[in-house]
Amino acid sequence: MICVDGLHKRFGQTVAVDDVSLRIEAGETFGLLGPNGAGKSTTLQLMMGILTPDRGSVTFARDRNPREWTARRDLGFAPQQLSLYEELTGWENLRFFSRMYGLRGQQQLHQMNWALGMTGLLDRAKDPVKTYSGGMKRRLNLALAVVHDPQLILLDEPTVGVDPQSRHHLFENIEQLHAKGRTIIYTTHYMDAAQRLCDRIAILDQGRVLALDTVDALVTKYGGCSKVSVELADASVARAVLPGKLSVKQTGHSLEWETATPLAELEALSAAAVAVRSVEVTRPNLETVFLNLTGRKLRD
Amino acid sequence: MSHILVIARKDLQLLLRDRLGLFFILAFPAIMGIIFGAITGSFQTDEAVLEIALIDEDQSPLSTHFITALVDTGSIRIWNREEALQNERQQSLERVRRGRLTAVVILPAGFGETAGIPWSQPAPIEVAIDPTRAAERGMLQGLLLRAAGNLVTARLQDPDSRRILFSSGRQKIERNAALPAITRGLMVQLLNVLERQVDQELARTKSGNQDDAPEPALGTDFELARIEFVPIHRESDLGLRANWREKVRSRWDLSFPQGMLWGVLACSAGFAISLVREQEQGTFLRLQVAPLSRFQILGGKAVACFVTVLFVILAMVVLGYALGLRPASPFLLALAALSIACSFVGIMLAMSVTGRTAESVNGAAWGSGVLMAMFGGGMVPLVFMPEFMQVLSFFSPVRWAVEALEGAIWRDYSVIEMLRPCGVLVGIGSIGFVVGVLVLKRRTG
Repeated sequence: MICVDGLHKRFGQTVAVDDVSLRIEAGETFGLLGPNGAGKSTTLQLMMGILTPDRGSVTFARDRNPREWTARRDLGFAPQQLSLYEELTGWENLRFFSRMYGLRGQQQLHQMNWALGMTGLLDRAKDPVKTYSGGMKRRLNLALAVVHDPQLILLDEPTVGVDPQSRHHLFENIEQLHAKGRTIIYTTHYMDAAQRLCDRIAILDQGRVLALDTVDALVTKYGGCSKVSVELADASVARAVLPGKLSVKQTGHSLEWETATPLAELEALSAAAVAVRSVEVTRPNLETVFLNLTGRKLRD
Repeated sequence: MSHILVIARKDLQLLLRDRLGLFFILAFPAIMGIIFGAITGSFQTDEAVLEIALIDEDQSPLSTHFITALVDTGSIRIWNREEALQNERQQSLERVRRGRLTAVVILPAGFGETAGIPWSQPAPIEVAIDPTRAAERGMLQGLLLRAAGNLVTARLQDPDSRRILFSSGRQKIERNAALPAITRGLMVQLLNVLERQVDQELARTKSGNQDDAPEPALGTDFELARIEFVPIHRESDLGLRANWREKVRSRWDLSFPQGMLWGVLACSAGFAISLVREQEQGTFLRLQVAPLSRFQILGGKAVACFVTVLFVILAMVVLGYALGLRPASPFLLALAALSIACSFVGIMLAMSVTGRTAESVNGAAWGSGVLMAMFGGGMVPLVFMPEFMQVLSFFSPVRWAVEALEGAIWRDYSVIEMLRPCGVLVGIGSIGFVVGVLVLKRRTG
């Protein structure tokens, strides 16, 4: 669907995007995960043809260049910043932007109703946007991006600053669009959002792609071991039950160690009839992947 | 094209919901036009009239005749005509001191005894006036002399006064010991002949039998000199200082072009700010992602600004018309309005790139707008500006806009004369447009 090859963009002395290459298939939800300032938004703007790359190229739908404005008809974009006319109503915002994509008449009306219905804003459509809550504005921001039913949807941090309910609503909307077969590029620094929504993820830091794969493959490759925490009834047997484990840390009745095979080792404990009060296994996730790749936490 | 119109409609919709913006674009210019019109109108009367107080201490028929003659000149208004104020000498002098009256004229007791007798020593007419008001003083002196001349005729036409006139003349000659007796006798005889001649002349005039009459010995009015004015109109050079008084038809002719320009400046600043605000709030980015060319995005904004400028000028013309403004040429006014709209759309785009935030563009747009107005005749009409300001005004688009509007409203410009301000305006607009688009293009990638 979209092919990014060797993109490079510099603003003054700062390298915003450094040799980024991506290939995103049709119908895929693709995540760009990274902390603030990693180059996610710049990469999106280069993909949409708003910024001109210093080097590299972007093509979508096989051979179309997004720098040509006519090629952008099949592209929908929800910017990170709420990009709405606050003095106009939700309906007027939708009517204006849908006209910008060439919709008219019944088709326009149908699409507007669909977008408002999907984002749950039908009953507030005639109110000025300035009276909306933050979550409602986020949903309208998404509705404006998809009102013309584009094949490729680019969402730049679409859930920033919203309450959990609106966030959940937005996730459902994105899943609906995915189910309709739309290609979605989703930038975020929220690990859970990327993990829930994305088929594949590129981890970006300082303008470079550090890793790119499915969530499971990334975790397997870069996530490291699971962390097991066990609280025993009798602390005296602690060492005896895990003789081969040098990295086990004991604090009172609690044992904590890292392992690639947590289930097998818990089974061994059970077989040795050790009385266990509680068990907690923490699997590696994208946060640990990022930590292992960069030595920093995702939100640093 | 339809995209441009949709963007323009959206911008106009946003403008209509911005009450403060609307105030500055529509109400403020109207207020400016009316206030400045009211101020400038006070010194644009067709004929100067001096307001004076007149104290008549003589109360004789001739003093009354003198006052009537003075008022009949049409250049004098007597403040204290009411009976209660007629002898308010102190109050009148106080009003002169405060500048509310030009002068106080006092006709002394005995004024009527000698008034209108050329060979008598007249009782002095007192005139209390601020010595710095030299022009008014000269004008008042002329008017008093004219009214005094009128008394000579009045005295000749009244039989009793006429007798007094000639008998006093005879007495004066007879008492003059410096004259030889023979000369005195001749002069008395001359006066007798003159008196008879005048009697016959006036009797003939009264009976209406003038068919075979020679030229009258005396005219109906006694004049010290006859002055005839020959009208020669100066050619219109700049059309500014020289002949504006003759051309301006109403007090709104000068103030409404000024008001219109304030509305146009507000409009230009408003759209420049809205363009930056769109960049700040991200809607410009969203438009860039849409299948639109940069020309369409900016074109929509330009059309909205263009339409609003035309509407401001039209609204001001309609308001002005209701108040008495009568543009000399509606066609040229339309040409001026179109040129101004072109110019200020370009200026709007150039203004929009003067800063990166709405606040900075707001400051820059209004700051430059005030300067343009100050040097361009938006605050003080061009006709009242000193020479050096008029030279500086050539660098202000407001000056050309004011000249174009005035050319159509009262300067009676021909189409050829209009081409200069209109051409300059379109040129300024084009430069502004190119500068704005290039900077914006570089800034937004």
